[in-house]
Amino acid sequence: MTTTPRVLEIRQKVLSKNDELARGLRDRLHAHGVFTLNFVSSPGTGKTRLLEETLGRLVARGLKPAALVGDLATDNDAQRLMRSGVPVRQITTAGRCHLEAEMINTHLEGWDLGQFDLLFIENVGNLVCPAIYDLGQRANVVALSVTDSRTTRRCSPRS
Amino acid sequence: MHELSIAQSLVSLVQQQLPEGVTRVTAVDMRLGALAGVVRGALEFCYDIATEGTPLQGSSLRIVELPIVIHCPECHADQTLEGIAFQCPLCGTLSGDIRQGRELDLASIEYDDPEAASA
Repeated sequence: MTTTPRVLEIRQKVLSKNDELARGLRDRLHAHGVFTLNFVSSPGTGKTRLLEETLGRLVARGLKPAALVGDLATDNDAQRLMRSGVPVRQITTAGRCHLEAEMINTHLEGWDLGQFDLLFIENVGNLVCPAIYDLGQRANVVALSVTDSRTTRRCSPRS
Repeated sequence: MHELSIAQSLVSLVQQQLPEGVTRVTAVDMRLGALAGVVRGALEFCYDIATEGTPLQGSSLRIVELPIVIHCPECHADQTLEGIAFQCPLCGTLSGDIRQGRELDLASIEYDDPEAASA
């Protein structure tokens, strides 16, 4: 059987499904009055430490934050953040080096978003791929450690 | 190493766009910016794995790489960069006004049209 080759123009972003989900998330969070931040840094910079401190201070001010925390393995970070008394869920990526919008969607299930003022998403410690996946956040927070030199920042230009 | 997720997203995007009845894709054309954070070789490697058992199996992935283009506010012109220092190559002005380089786009596909063949 002979077949005729055809060309079909598509012109779509490869991550359009993620982007679409992220847009939906952003609208939903915004509609519930939840301000969402995506925390990124190299591994070991202190994202979790910074969040522990931040969550504690926000609670002391009477605000209602929640946190999603991404790691390749273990729920150590969620355990640490839970000590602040804030609702926290661990996202274990099983080897994936970044969070995707779908993971955020899944892990928000069952939470009444109307209860929260702020949502903190602690991304996987990595300055490369977390920069290309939209998670529905309003803004990114990049934590740099002293050893993340000028050179490190130049090495990860998208973050 | 997120190229496998990217390759999987690419494959499912192509499958969504595939006209009904098409069982074989022969080529996929992509545009890849220098700032997309994707390693071409790793993506090509993962493409073969991600396409296995799909209509894309055995197809060729053709990638057009796009350099970074920034807009220089001093020269009032778009400038193509060779590296990733966000600086006008002509006058040295720093600029983060990126006009090209973030692309991670599916441009087009080529496939065997079974209807045209049977006609």
